[in-house]
Amino acid sequence: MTMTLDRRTVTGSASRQPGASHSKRTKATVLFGLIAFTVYSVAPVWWLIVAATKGQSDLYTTNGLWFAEFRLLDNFRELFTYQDGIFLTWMWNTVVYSLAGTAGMTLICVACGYGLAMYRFRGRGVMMGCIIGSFLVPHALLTIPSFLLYTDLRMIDTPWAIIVPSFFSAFSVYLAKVYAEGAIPHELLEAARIDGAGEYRIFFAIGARLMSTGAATIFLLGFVGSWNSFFGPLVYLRSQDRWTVMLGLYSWLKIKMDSSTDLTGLVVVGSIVSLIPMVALMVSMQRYWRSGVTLGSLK
Amino acid sequence: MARKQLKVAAVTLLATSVTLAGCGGEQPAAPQNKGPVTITWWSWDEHKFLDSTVEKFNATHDHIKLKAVKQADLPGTAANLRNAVAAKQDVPCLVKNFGEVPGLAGEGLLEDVTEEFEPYTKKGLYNEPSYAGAQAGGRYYGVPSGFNPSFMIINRAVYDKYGIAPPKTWDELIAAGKELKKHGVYVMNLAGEDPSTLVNLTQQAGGTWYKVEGDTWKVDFLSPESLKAAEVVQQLVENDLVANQTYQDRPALIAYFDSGKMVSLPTSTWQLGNYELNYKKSLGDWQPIDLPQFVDAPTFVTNAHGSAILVPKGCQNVKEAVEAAVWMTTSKEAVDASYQEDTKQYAWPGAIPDPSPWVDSAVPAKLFGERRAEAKDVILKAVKSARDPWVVGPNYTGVFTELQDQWAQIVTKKITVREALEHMQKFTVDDLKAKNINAQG
Amino acid sequence: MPRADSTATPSVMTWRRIAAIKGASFTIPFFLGFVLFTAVPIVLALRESMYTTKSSGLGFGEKTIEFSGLANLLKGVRDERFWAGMGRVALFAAISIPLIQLASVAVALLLDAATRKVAARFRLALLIPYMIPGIVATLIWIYLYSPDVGPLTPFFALFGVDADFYSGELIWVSIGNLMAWGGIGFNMLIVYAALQAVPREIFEGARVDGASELRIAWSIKVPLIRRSLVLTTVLSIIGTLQIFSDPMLFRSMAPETVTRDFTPIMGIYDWAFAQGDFNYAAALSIILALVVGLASAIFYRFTNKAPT
Repeated sequence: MTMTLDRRTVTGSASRQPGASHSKRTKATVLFGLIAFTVYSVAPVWWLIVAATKGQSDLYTTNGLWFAEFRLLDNFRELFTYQDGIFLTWMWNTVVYSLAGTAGMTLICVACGYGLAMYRFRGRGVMMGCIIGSFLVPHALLTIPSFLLYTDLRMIDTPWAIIVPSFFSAFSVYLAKVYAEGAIPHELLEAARIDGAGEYRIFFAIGARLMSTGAATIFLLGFVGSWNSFFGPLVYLRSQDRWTVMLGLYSWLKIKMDSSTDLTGLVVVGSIVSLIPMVALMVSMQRYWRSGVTLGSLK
Repeated sequence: MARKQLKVAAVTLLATSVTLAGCGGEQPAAPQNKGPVTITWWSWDEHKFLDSTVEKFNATHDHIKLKAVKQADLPGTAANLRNAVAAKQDVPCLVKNFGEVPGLAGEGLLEDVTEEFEPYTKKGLYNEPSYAGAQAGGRYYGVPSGFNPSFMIINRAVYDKYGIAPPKTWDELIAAGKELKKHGVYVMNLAGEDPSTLVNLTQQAGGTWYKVEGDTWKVDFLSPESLKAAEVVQQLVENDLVANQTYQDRPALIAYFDSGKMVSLPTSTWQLGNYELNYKKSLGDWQPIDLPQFVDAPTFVTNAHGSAILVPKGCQNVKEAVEAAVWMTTSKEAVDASYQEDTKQYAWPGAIPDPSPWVDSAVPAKLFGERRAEAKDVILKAVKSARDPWVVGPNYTGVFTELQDQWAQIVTKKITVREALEHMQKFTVDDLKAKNINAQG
Repeated sequence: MPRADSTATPSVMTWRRIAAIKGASFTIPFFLGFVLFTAVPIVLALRESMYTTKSSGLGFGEKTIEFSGLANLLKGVRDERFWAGMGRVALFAAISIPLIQLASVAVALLLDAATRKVAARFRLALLIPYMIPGIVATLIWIYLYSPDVGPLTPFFALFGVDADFYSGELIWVSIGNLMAWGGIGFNMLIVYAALQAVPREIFEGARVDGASELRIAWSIKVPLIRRSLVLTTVLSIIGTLQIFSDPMLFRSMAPETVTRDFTPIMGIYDWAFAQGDFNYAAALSIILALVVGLASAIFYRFTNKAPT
């Protein structure tokens, strides 16, 4: 295979550095816009941070935007020791389910989106129709039929009930198709074919690589969605030691509705801790956010 | 090389599906002839209550083993039970109540356990008002778990400050409200999403909205009792005597109750711990008093509507399930097992005739200050005077959501209580008839 | 797209066919799972809509299930309360979606226009609301909106605006802001990824020709990411017409406005789980899906982008 992909490097010529040629005024406008949106996004989280440092008795009766008695460490201790540290079990479960489910989903859906975008074959239109049609169906309709199905498949109260169905995300396929169409020029595939490469080889050597930004996005969206989902776990998992962190936090939050306990304080600290894996994932995936791959000699 | 990668992927996928088929493949345990029967119990109570109860039960029983499955919350339990009953597989045998027994029985979720439970009614294990809450159309669909006694707590410091006596009747409460209003204080809170005040008052007046006559439901939202309750609510709303704080905005709710701007709360035992935990300024200012009465009430009455531990349709071991539930609701062992070290409290034993040994633990230490001792008498008096005339029909779950909509219009003065009741009358009868259920009214 | 080449020799035809079959094989794993986990439950649910469940006597006995064909659907078509909810939500969608989309694209373009270093700093912060789970976002905004203890009401009072975010009048503003706060990050991420995939040389030419950044953004970048924009907009249309949990929360705050069937999905939930008529709920779900499909199709037509 003679085709080479010229990946642009950070040390590329100055004119290629995005934004390098901007005027000062443009730069200031961009910066101002970003700051405004960031304030809108992050300011409300201040309440969460402040609340995490408070004991339960200060949570409702002191000013929500400022600190009271500082009890952050006690809150952490309670979080990690409550019910013999079940929070950590939930965290671990969620990591396993989300990673396994999202990794499988990304592979299956990126391949499918690539197939739909790059090839013409019978039934392709019908498939796209099914995918888009499935977006339209209200999920309330499906809870009981899905449960009956999972029961027949003997998946209830097993991790498979969370992991396996998440492989097949119609939304991710659509997204993969859109990214594939945008990122992979047909000429490139033709060139590879002329060089004698097989279709599967072309996918792994060229398609998958060109789609890496898209695939990373699909993975990220899938992971966050899976991490924060609690309806599936609520319905399909029974044993508390198989629960996910969102389901656990949800149950803690609701406990005050009809009992004399109030665990909202734990929910606040717990939700901050539960953000850590997602933030870590985003940071570790920064390298996929470099600007687009250049297409070298082909252009 | 690419081919190989794909093969690996395909094999992995295949392996996954094989594991999947193999996983969780154990057949559900068929009813066994020998060895203990396992009863699965669903509840969204905190794990520590469940664990201690299960432990105690299993330590004292050989032929039945109890297994608790913690649920996330009430709506989650409801969704899961509907699914399990529809799937007819792994149906739990006991479930914490998430609605009204007739509504759930009408949905086809519950098992008729009259035959299994009736013998226990002759043993004097239960207090009389408990039974109604476990019945639908005269049959038992669960085991009574009793009621929480109704009383009121008032912010006595504020009452004293403005020289107002604690109300003994609802009329006095309205009068107190008018006086307090002059000082910018509300006498009560009526949350816009929760019509339970109207329901409770109707119960206290001895009324009910449904009645069985032969094989027909008689629906009457406009009975004298119901209208008596309506009048109290109408007065409170019309004269702007009540706050409308929502339960959802918890910080505002607690801060508001704590602030002395709202001074009377009809309440029950299970809520006291929460007030103690969250109130700050007003701790020690509160006083427990008897629930205000209707002026013309011949005897002192508090509303009580019992709940039940549900036995779902498809439970394989009804007899053992009922036995376990009776133990959970009436035995001293079960009450003792619910004791919590940290809060020094027992779960309220609402079904038994005499809860007096446990009443002291239900009263928190600081909320009532010097008046803490009064709470015991107030609570026990409420238990003794409890009546449960309340019957609901098979469509009550839906009727209640409609009532919520109407209630919101009431508290915002868009309609009168009477208009709401007239609407509910028509709605309920029409709905029953649409479902092909015999109804008149 | 591989062109249908009329002058192709037979061997090339075969070769193309094999390629097409191999291409189709990329989609097989997904579609096997899709049929099992999505299509089967949908078909089961559709069947529900064709039946009617009837009680008898006092309503506690066994129920009879009758085939009723399209009766439930026809009842739904004439259900005024359901269509009132639909109208409400459609109006809200018509206003909120353009605003949220505009904001999302603006953020994505700003990030794309910033230097690498600056973008890296802001990217994560802008995505935080998207990562915050819904139940916690609700907890936060209940506090911020609270007219009694929250900071927003006094803040607006400074400018002489009397804002009660729990009131019936502001309900859609409150819901819209809640959706925007949690949703902009998601849309932005999709659009930004598409922008990043565009080869940079394309913009360089325009810059050399002296085009302003705004002009480049509008005339070059936006058309290039149109597919992603169409996607996020259609998802927003679907999501907004199916809005449930946010209005459900405000049912407690402003119950006199937010009735049990305030939005179509709230109505469907009420029919299925409170009124206990799953058959009718299934029929309403179908109607809703058709309306959502129609709205999406009109939008596609509007943007001249066929869905396939």
